[in-house]
Formats: sequence, C-alpha cells, structure tokens
Amino acid sequence: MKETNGNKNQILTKVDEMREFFKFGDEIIPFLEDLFKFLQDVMPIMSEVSSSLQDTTSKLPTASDRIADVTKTTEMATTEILDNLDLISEKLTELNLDSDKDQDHIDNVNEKITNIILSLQFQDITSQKLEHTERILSAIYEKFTDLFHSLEGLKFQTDFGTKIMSGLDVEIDKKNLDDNSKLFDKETEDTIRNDNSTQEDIDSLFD
Amino acid sequence: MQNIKVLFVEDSLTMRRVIKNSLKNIGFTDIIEAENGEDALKKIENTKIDLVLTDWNMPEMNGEQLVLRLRSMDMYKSTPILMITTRGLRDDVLNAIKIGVNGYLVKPFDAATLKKKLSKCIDLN
Repeated sequence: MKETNGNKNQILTKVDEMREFFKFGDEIIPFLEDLFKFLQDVMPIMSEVSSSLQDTTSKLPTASDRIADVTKTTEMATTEILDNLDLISEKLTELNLDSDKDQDHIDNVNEKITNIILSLQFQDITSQKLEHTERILSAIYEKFTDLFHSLEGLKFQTDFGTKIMSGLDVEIDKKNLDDNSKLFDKETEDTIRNDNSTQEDIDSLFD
Repeated sequence: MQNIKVLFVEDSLTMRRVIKNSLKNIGFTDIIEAENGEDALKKIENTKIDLVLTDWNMPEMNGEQLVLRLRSMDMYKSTPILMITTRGLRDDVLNAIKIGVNGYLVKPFDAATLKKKLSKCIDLN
C-alpha cells in the first residue's frame, strides 16, 4: 500500500513537471514568434549588407593590381628620366670648353642633374608606401573571404543555420540588391582600363 | 678611392641608379650592385669588399639578415656597413646598431649627407 502511494506521488510529481514544462512552452511561444518575426524583418537588411560587402570585397584584388601597376609605371618613367639625365651628363663631358666660365656653367648643370637624380628617390619611397597599402588591402580581402566561407559553412552545419540561410535567400529583395550593386559599380567604376584605345584610334574619332 | 671596393644592395631599380650615381660622384669606381641579400652574397663569393651599403626592406634576404650573415664571417667582422632605408624609427636604428651596422641613413637623402655618413665609415681622402 505504502509502495503504491509512493508510485502515485512520483507520477503526480512527473505530471506537475510536465504541466510546468507546457506552461513554460506557452510562455516561450510568443517570444519565439517575436524572435522569428524579428529575424524575418532583419534578414533583408542582413542579405543586403552581405551582398554589399561581397561586392566591395570583389573589388579589392583589382584595387591591389592597380597599385602594383602604379609602382611599375612610375619605376619605368623614373628609369627613362635617369637614362636621359645620364645622356645629358655624357654630352656635357664631350663639350669642348673655351673658358673657366664655361666650365663653371657645366659644373652648375651637373650639380642640378645630381639634384634631380637624388629627388627621384621619391619613386622608391612612394612605392614602399603603396606596397604597404596593397598589403593592407590583401589582408582585408583575406579576412572578408574567411568570413564569407564561415557563413557558408554555417549554412550546412546546423538545422537552425540552414533555416536562417534559406530564409535569407527567400527574403532577398532582388531588384533592390541589383540596383545597389549597379550603384556600387558606378561609384567604383574603373576609369583606367586595360583595353585602352590607341592614340590613332582616338584621333580618328575627331576626323 | 680607386682601391676601395664598394658593395651596395638595393631591390629598387630607381634607388640602385640613384646610389650608383651618388657613389660615382663621390669618387668610387669599383662598385658592385646587388638586388637583395642572397644576390649580394653570391656576388661577393670570390672577392673582398671594403664597404657595404644596404637597404633594409628587401625580398629573399633583407638588410638585417645580410648584415648578420656578413658579421658572422671572419673577413667581414669589421667591414664598414651603412644602412640606407626608409625605416626611421628609433627602435629600428637601435636594432641596426645592435647587429653591427656602422652608419644609418634615412631615405630620401642628399649628396652631402651621404658623403658625410660615408666619411664616418671610411677614409674618403
């Protein structure tokens, strides 16, 4: 009899626990509904931010290449200047001098040439600064790429993640995103193109 | 300065031209140029250098590594070394002194400053 009462008490306790659980469930459901509503609202914004970031990130390697191009171009231009200065110096030494005054003039020009050569150090200094900027861009690009890979990983790792990501896909306002992407492209348009027309082609347009 | 053999190590083509021109103007005639530390070590394998000018930031082997390698060789324990670099932080200079550099010149430099620094490393007369 004592044992039967004990079992009965245990069952009642379990029923009470279950009642409390369902009561908690009743209380949590509105919260969960609110949470999902919030997620639904925030998803389009998140997807837009994500898309903008991906757009920006995709531009980084191009920006990096452009910086490398600048370095190369300035180095070539500087080399050309140095070649010409060397040539001028050579010509000056070949001159037949008639007087000390002439020699003074030549010395003066040579001094100016030396000063020009020394001032061309700017090319190396700016190259190093650009190289630093390039390294920063590459680091940012890597960070963003890692971030996007992590987000993609999240999509498949958990049910919750899958639901969130599929919700993101559904909620994307395609037209809005396309418009933003076009605006971003316009703002960051590459005005220095590799497929440049030749000067002859340009001139022919004026004929 | 006809008998002084100078090695200068610099990865920038522009700076190599600038330094070579400056060295010639000062009066050096025996000049060996290298693009980085590795290249420098190869080029001096069969010769003895009297003066070294080196950049710090370089690919393959940088100036710091080159100085350490040179100072580890008996024949270059006391050879004058002038570091020419854009790195002007106090800690960088202190590090250069620590590894055995005799002079330190921050880019951009002018002809007079280079000559002054060199004269502190080697007898230019």
